[in-house]
Amino acid sequence: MTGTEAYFEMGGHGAYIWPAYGLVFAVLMGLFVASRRFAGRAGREFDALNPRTRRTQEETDEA
Amino acid sequence: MKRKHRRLTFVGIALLLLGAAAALVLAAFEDNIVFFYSPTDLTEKKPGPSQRLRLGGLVETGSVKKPGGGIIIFKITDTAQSVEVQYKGIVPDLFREGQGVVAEGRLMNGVFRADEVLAKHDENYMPPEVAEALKKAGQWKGDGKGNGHTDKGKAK
Amino acid sequence: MHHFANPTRFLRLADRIQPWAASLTMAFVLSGLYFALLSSPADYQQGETVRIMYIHVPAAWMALFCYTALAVSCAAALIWKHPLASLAGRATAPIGACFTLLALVTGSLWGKPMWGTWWVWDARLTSVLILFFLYLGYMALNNAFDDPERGHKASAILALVGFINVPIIKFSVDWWNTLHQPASVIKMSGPAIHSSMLIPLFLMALAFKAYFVWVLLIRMRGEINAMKVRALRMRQVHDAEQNRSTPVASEAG
Repeated sequence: MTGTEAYFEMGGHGAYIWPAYGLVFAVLMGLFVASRRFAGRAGREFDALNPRTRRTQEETDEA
Repeated sequence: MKRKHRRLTFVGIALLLLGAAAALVLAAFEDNIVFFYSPTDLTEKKPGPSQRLRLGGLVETGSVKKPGGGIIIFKITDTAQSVEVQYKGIVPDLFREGQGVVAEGRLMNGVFRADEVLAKHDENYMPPEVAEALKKAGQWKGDGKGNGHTDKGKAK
Repeated sequence: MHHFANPTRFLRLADRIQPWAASLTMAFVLSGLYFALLSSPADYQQGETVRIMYIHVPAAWMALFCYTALAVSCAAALIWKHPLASLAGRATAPIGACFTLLALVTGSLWGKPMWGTWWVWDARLTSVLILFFLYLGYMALNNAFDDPERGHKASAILALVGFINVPIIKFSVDWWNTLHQPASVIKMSGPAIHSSMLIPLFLMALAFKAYFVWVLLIRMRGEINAMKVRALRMRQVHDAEQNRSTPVASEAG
């Protein structure tokens, strides 16, 4: 218990180290999710507009 | 109308950001590109007591004195010249003799009265055991005199 | 290279690369975190705070790398007028902006306990803040016009002009007195970082690079589809106008 506590203390600088790692995780995760949503929305819009893609998307795309 | 409005806001934001960037560049060029002066610069410049500036160098080994009342007196050196600094307050973790330091304040009668002291870190990173071993083997660059703070590049 | 300049071919290539980028990101993040937070030693001066360096330095490298990629794609877009180049710029900028923000904030979190201050206006910190504004300015300008072509062109010029900032950032610590320390890894006399600390640093750098490829491909897919949507809408409007101009003829036929 004290071992893990000491670990998270990080020699008294845990208050700087953990927020730094947390922020990197949050920002990179947020950008990833936002990018996925953006790509998904654009893909659905395209499929809805293009009558050909409703049937066989991959093949007709080629033309 | 709505489109025009949106376009205007976007151009406005872009201009604002550009303006901010340009202003920062200019402000930096004004006096901040030189973040600090060395003790040699200071003895040549001889600034008046009204001029606020930053003094950077190494904390001279054996010069740190604590006369009490939270006051700390030490010398900042660039190995050619050194200037006495007086400071009241808490110094950062990395402040120690032989370490790089930047003090902000005014030069009064040859004594630099600082109201802020920042530690400058060098570009060397190693575990404590390695540092110990290097010191023992006499491979230490500068024996606490020049860990590459002021004369970077000459560190090795 | 020209072979993949066709959007459909590009997407097929992206489909093949993406799972690799995803699994490499995961592998490098996990091994990088293990070394950064568990198995690497504390520094002889900074103590445990050295661990912030393992994310700060790779984020700063990515900030410069993304801007270089942005400038290259903007130059390609201006010179060869290739639509994929403009889209690559649009897809890169938000990723670069995020890495720049992370470099600034993690640097600040390192600076408070080590230097004794969150922020100073020295040449390195100021020039990186300008880099962040350049990314934001590029993105704002890119979306500022009704005609996307004009937006691409104006923002590409801004990005290219702003590229001057990249060497300024890199050499600011050598050219001027800064509070920020000079480069440790890339220097003439070899890295000034002990190998036990170089391992987590490089693993995190590889993790960020793989993440960049992964997210870039996702965003490129979105940009390509958005471009196709615009083209289809334009054609629909065009067709509708044509039909309206000859309604009697088409009804009679």
